[in-house]
Amino acid sequence: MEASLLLEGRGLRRAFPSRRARKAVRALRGADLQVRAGEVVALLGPNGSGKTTLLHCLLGIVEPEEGEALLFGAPPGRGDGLRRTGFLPEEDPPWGKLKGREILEFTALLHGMDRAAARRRAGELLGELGLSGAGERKFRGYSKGMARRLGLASALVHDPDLLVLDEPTAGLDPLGSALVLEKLLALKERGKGILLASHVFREVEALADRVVVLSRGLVAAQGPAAQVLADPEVWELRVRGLDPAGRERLEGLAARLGEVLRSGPALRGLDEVLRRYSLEDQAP
Amino acid sequence: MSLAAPPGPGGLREKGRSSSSPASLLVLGRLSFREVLNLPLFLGFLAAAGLTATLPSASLGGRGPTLFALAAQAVGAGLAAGLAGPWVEGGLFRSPWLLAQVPSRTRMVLAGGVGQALSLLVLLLPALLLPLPAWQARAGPFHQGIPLVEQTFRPGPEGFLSSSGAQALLRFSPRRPARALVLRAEPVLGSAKDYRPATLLLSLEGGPWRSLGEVGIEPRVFRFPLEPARPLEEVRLRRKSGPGLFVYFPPGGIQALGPSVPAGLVWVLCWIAAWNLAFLAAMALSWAGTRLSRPVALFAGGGWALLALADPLFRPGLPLAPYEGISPGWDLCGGRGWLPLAGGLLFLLLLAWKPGRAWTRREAGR
Repeated sequence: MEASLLLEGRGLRRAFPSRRARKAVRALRGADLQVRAGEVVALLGPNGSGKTTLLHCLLGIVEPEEGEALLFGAPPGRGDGLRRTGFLPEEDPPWGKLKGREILEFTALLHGMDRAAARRRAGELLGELGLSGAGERKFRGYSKGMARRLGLASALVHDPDLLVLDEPTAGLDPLGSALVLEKLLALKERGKGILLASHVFREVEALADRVVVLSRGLVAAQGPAAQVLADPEVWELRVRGLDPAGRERLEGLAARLGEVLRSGPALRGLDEVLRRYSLEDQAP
Repeated sequence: MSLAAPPGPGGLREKGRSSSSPASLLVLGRLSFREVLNLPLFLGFLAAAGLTATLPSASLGGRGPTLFALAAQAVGAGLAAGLAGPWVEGGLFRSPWLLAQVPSRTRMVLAGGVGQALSLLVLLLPALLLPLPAWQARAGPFHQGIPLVEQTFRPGPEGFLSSSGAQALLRFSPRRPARALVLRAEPVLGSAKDYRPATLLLSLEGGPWRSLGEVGIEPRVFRFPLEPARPLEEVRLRRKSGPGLFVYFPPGGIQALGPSVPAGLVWVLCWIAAWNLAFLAAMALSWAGTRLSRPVALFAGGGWALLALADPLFRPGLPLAPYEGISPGWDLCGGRGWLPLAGGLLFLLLLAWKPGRAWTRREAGR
């Protein structure tokens, strides 16, 4: 029997007005995505490919111009979809002067828990994510890694069936990353659905059942993680108008790229490499 | 696998609560209250209110009650802020994170709106309370004042009927109908040789003389009703020939009262009179800079500041006027002082129009 569909996006389109460019920036150009119960789906793509916009459209934070998002079978604002979903945004919420424990209790109260239960749950999560000693500290004093872990804790407060995580390990040190990955693996084993946007191949390889590669607002490839990550077609680099010197540089770049990919790198690093060696700019 | 929600922690689903339960809405309301009511802003308001209370225009009903009201306000606001809980940054209410927490956006907007409205009320309480003493000092029926255009006392000096048969010619603006004539007459005791009461006579619009009453050793206020109300252009007063006290009419002691004015409007007028508009403009600027976008802040606050700067040109003698009837406030509104009022109203309209921005999804980011 096929697992139930927790999250679905069909033909999602969204553009944003740009102050610099006269044209609107088309962040999503008809993206489709599905997440089933017990499945971990990784959303990969370079910066600006539309990952965050897609997540926001799926959760109803941003209205898609076209297409439909369904959370537990209903549009995100209706039904109890959001109540059953935990969300970790890319940027930490401006919790400012709230203490770690207060943030988790506040989140729990928003989700309808009573005060005693909220306090208990906050204590549990602080312990599970290695923040026991930081519960009484103000959020503004948290390091990046601590802030990400607290964000994850707030996404888990109400024990959601679906987790939507935007770069959950960004800024974490190896120890922090391992802690978060361990937690996510445990959740996966408990049958939770997880959708995570990430640049980190190692994280994706460790967690994801399926990978969806987003490029310029479109799904460029998707399938089982092992298959997509190993597919050279997915990572093809197209270069036009190359002169001999450029070809030589490209070969050097390709060799370096291979090294980078083999060593389990971050796509963000790859994106920077490509920007530095913008060969298309050299077209005659 | 079923889509039905399984039980969760803390008895959330067992109790069937939605995340827009009263408790969660209360939390949101409290946080939005605290988001506005932060200490620097409140102290700024209080300082401006305190400074304003020291100005002459705030002495309408006495500075003591005014300062007491401000002190009470400070204590009240402190308690309210303490009860509301920790302060959060305004960005929280625009963050994608919060938008993904609560299913019922409408209720969230309402809860946040109520919290913000309450905090605004707390912050604006000094402004609301400040005119209270002045308003109370004017207890009784309120009337529109009719400007006294010209007064001539013969043989003089001005305000004195200082000899047997002395007369005064008073001319009022004929543009508003008068309902009553109010005269405060005081005896001139310092140089008196004869302490017998003087009789005052009155003639309206060149009509026959009629007796108004006697003025003895105590000051006396004569109220002469006009039924029906009618424009009053020329009034003559005469001290009846014969022995007795001389009579003096102090500044503002001769008034023609026009149509009655609603008490609420008087409150507004006292509010305008009690506050120095330049301070209000400064507060508006700081407030607008905090709450609104920069262009709107400059437009609203800057515009009002300019009007406030020009205000003294439009309301001469305001601090002198408190005991002279309702005219200063009324002149401010119905006479030549409409510009500052219009500026203030414009700013309030902008405030009312803009606060929703924090709650729109459009600005929630990508």
